[in-house]
Amino acid sequence: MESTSTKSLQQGPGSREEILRKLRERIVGFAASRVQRDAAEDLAQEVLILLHEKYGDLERLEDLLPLSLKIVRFKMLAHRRKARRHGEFTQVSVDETQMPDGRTDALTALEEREARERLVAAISGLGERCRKLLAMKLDGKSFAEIQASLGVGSINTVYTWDLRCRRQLMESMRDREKNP
Amino acid sequence: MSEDEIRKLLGGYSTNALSADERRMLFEAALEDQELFNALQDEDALRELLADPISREQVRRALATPRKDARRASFWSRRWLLGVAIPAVVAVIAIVIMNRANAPRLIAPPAQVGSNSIASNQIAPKEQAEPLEAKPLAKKQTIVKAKTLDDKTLDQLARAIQPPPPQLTAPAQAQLESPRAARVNIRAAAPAPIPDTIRQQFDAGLASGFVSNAPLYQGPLVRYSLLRSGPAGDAVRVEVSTAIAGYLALYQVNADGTAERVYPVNEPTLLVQADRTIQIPDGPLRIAAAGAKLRLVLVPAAPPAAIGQLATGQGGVIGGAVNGAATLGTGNAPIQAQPTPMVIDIPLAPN
Repeated sequence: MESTSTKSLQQGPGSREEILRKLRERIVGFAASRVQRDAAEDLAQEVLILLHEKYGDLERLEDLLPLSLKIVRFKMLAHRRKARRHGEFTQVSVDETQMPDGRTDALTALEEREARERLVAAISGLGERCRKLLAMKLDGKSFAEIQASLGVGSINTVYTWDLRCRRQLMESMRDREKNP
Repeated sequence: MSEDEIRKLLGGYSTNALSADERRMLFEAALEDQELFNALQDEDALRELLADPISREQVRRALATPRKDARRASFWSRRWLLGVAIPAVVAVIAIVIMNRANAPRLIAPPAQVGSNSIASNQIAPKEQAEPLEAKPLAKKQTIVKAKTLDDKTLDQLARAIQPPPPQLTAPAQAQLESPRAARVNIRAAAPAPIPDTIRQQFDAGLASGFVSNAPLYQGPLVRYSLLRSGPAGDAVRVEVSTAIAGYLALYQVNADGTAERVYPVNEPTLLVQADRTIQIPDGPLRIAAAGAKLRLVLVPAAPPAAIGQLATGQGGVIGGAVNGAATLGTGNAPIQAQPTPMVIDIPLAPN
């Protein structure tokens, strides 16, 4: 008990509370770019509650931030599902009432499959250089190795190419999600 | 953290290629930077997809499969190219049709072939049919026969044999297929140097030599057609075909016997290649003087013996008979110093 109250009182830089405070700001900012501001605030609040209640033992940024990214993604997915169910906003979500049985539910499996299909389709539309670059990254090659393999003079060029390729890939996936 | 570092860390994040320190640095930067956090959120979705073994395998297969549009599109599928090519083809066809419509009409008899009164009865039909094939043989025979001559005769022979005419370049030869192309090419190419003996021969010939009183040549080696144009047909040009290379000039001979050169203008003569057809002069002539005629003069560029062999098949008979030189090797006649001009009169009858 004492340790918990001690934790909650830690407000200095690098403390859990400080990390969560900044995380909330970032989550709201990100969600607001995709959904309405009110929904973005609610979504950030839900993420923080989950982090507080379920993952209260995590204090390091390296643990909290990737976890928050994942929770935000799931929450965004759930939000889009809700938006599709016209007239069911007042009802309790099936996702929230049913207890998970440890297996992937049919809807999630379907969405994962669709996401894979979008990814594969988007990769098929990439240029030859992006395809080579991505293949080498999947093979575990470092940027320096990719630079040598592609015969590029500067490694910054490889970073730039990689950034453009990933942007193209994700934009293509988003386009396919909006216009399947 | 610099932009390059951020790009590097973001690039490695999606494929789980970052070290623990790099991940921490990236997260710390993302916590302070909204834009980077948003990018990281997107990257995280990609990272999770690529981390899934099923997705990873599908991505690998997709990357191994060549792009559908990687092959170059065929020529006919490029519509923009057709949009350029079709008008270009139409334009070329239109130009060809217009050129044909504007070509000079052939009014005079298509070809007038004369015969030398002395030499023609000695020309074998075989040599008439294959004049060009006989050329190398004639040169060879001349050399063989020359070996039997004494030194003095050899010196005379060496002086008599003119250097071979300079050859046009290969592209120029290729363009000399049509009369129009021949005209253009002869004008465009640098004029071949004219040997001094030929130049002197033409200069002297205009005053008192072959132009006024030379024997006329009537044989198969030179053919001509008179081309008339203009409303009244009073503008004329001459289309000349020569079976041998030589130096050509065209003169207008008036009724009083005076002559003036009408082609070429700036030089006493011009070298023409064998088996070529040209139209001269460049612009049509309008001859108003009554009784005037045209006179075509061709001085063979090849050694006289070769021309004689070509025309007669008897090793210089034409040189002996027409030019006054006897057959080589007989030892009873002088060697021809200058090739004999072939002079052809072209009457200008009323159209």
